Amino acid sequence: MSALRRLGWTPVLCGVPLVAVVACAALGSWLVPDATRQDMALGVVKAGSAGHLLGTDKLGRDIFQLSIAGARSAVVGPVCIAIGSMVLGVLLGTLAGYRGGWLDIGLSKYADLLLAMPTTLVALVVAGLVGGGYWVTVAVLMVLFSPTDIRLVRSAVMTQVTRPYIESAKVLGLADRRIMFRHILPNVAPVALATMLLNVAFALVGMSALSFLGLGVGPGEPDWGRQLSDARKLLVANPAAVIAPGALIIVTAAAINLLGDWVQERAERSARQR
Amino acid sequence: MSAALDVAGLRVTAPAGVLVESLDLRVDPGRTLAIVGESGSGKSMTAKAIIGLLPAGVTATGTVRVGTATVQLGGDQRVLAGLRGTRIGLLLQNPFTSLSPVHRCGAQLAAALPAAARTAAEVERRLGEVDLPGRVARMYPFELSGGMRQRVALAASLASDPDVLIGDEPTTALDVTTQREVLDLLAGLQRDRRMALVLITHDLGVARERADDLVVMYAGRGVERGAAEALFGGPRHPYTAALRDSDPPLDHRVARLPTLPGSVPRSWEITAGCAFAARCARAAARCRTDAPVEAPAGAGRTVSCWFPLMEDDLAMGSAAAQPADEPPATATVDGGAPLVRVAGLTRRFGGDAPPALDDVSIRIDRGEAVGVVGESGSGKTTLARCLVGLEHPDGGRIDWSAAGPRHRLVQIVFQDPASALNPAMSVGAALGEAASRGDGRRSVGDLLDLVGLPAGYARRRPAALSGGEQQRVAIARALAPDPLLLICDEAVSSLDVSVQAQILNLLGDLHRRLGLAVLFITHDLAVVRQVATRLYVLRAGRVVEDGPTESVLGAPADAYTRALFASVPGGHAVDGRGEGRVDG
Ligand SMILES: Nc1ncnc2c1ncn2[C@@H]1O[C@H](COP(=O)(O)OP(=O)(O)OP(=O)(O)O)[C@@H](O)[C@H]1O
Ligand code: SF4
Ligand SMILES: [Mg+2]
Repeated sequence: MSALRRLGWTPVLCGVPLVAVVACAALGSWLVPDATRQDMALGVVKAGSAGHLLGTDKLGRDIFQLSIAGARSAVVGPVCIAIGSMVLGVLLGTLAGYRGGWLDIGLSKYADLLLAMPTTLVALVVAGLVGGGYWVTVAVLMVLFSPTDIRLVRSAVMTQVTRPYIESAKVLGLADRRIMFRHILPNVAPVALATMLLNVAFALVGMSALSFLGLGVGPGEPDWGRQLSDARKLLVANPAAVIAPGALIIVTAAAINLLGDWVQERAERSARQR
Repeated sequence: MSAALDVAGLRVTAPAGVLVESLDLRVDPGRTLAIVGESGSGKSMTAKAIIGLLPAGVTATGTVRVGTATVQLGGDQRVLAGLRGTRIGLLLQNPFTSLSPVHRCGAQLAAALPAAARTAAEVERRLGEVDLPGRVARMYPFELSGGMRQRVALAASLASDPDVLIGDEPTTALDVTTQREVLDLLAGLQRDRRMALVLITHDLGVARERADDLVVMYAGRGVERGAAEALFGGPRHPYTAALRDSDPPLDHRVARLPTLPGSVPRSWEITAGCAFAARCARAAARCRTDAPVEAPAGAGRTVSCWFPLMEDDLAMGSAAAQPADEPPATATVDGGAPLVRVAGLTRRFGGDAPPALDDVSIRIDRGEAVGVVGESGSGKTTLARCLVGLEHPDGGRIDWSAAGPRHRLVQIVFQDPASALNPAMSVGAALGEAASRGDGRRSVGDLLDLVGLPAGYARRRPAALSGGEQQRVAIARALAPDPLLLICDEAVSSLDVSVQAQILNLLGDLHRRLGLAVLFITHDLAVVRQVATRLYVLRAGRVVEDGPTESVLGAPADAYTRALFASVPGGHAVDGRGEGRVDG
């Protein structure tokens, strides 16, 4: 009770759906091994009919099972994107914020350039050049997400470098690498972690949008964005085929977002109290 | 006359226990009440309880009466919220925490004004009231100096024309000259508006000079109250006397500042007897069993002590702080050969701004304690930063007579203990890392011992230390590589007088024992008098006067030194012992 009082409802309300999604992602192939089995003879049926809780799509695949199986691509890619772009962000942002000078200017220009790129268009072009695929999309989004992370880490680092404890470390003649990674990094980590969470949500929406355009997962693979685009024409035949993946994307992204905001707020508060 | 603010039976409780115990306060319109006491004595919690801004989990009971409105604390918080910002204003130490960094000052001031008065003209008038030009409205807080920021914060806290203003260390972050300006401004506004002021401060000089009445707080309790002049002149409570005595006098040097052993106990740890008993030289058996009751002690005074000090005790008490005849001992090594010579040092920031350092030449001998004084912006810190290599001079030379890497020659201790240590690193890790930069002679245990901290502190995080303890750790870290020169840049300015006395004594001991040269940078002339043999007075980047401390402070030749001298709050007979302030 007192833990709930201290932390509030946000982590609980957001945690429940997220744990469920992550569990589905991890156990999906065990829970619903036949999720992608087609039943052309059956075709599309409405929710509730013939033992299909959410009905089927036009290939006769069970929407409920498919949605569970789709959790994997909804979790793995976005998490990789968020981690990868934050690793880039931490490495380059720390260098830029700590070293300053031409390195900072160069990295900022690089970040501006990437920020100016239209995400979808770049993904389309890259897919055209090297062939599409889930991991190509993940890599492209990773790079395109990094400039905001670089900027964030850079400004967090810059608030630290003028603090007396960093100056004392310099006066002690410590190596720059040590100052950056032993002294500064632990103090920007909370903010970086919170941003990483937020990025997972953005990446999920981004990946889903690209899958919707046919750029993400291969045809036939379970994926919420793909499901949405496949089921576009079934809005009348089985509305659940559209609603289920759509709702999943929205709920998951919103839960991650709220949780990220909550973590960020706490991180900022604890940073202020220092 | 009815009181502007009347607080009765205030009790503040945190999950861990009671923070403030049955406290009464009363201020009349136009008067100033100062609350003094060491860090952790509950001053800020009292202010927060009165204004209804307690942190989550902390609750208050008692009665707050503002003019004719009475609020029962612990009841409906909205009533208090209504008073806050209309009848009571709050001014904090660090304007950075009360002003938003991303909004212009004008917008922030407007937001604090009553809806009907949110006009540009009103904002400008309000800025004028605190002696700021109208253009400040379009500026961001970070574009302003510390004093200007505090004026903006003051204007915002006065926006709703409160009857009572509570200032929690409102001028602690400012240098003496700016502090004097802000305090004068406050006094003027107070007169014009007949506003009551509750001034929370750890600076006894400020309290003495500015307050009509005084409440001395200790471990969440009011231990002595009465007219400020009477309390300073003849304290009855041993704690008041100890606080007063540990404040370094401006007009003479004492061999060793009297200190208070230990620190303020957590108020909830006091189960029986007097809260001060563990640190009190007069404590007797009764003090440990029965809590003293508040008893009248002369005109308008009360004291909570079983054995209050009397006139003859006072005479004896101050014997501890007899003036020292000889100047501070200089632990001269190598016959006072210069350790470092700075010649013609110049540093300018930005194009047409006046240089921060303009042809500065100083000398520090081995084992010598040298002071640098001057107000903020005079270049003191730039000089220190050039010496340790954090800043690169545009011209001039710094010649060390000793060989070795710079970090073995000089180390520095900064002003703010809270940010001096890496919050993510334990004390032991920080000291171990620093010791590895020396020749490995010093262990973490030795270093803690050197600054008088128990070895168990190695496992603690900085957040679990008091300000004075953090500063000790910062000193230990600076001493770890065995430097020949220790620079203290306002190293005691943000500490309580009691802790300040401990740190000053500690620095004096280290200076003598280790043969360490010390460069003491401060705006506090009383402090520098206690520690430095020679003095440089810096103004606008230039050395305007230098010489032995006693002769510079005894007969300041430069008009600026004299002005600096006059700005020291309570500068006349600071300790009630010495008479006659030095007039050049
Ligand atoms: N949020 C909190 N929860 C519980 N206890 C707290 C909290 N904040 C402060 N305290 C404790 O309350 C006591 C009084 O703190 P307070 O900040 O009022 O002291 P203070 O006299 O203002 O000190 P300073 O001169 O350092 O500002 C201390 O023991 C402190 O550790
Ligand atoms: S009551 Fe006793 S312990 Fe407390 S201050 Fe007085 S003499 Fe000291
Ligand atoms: Mg306080």
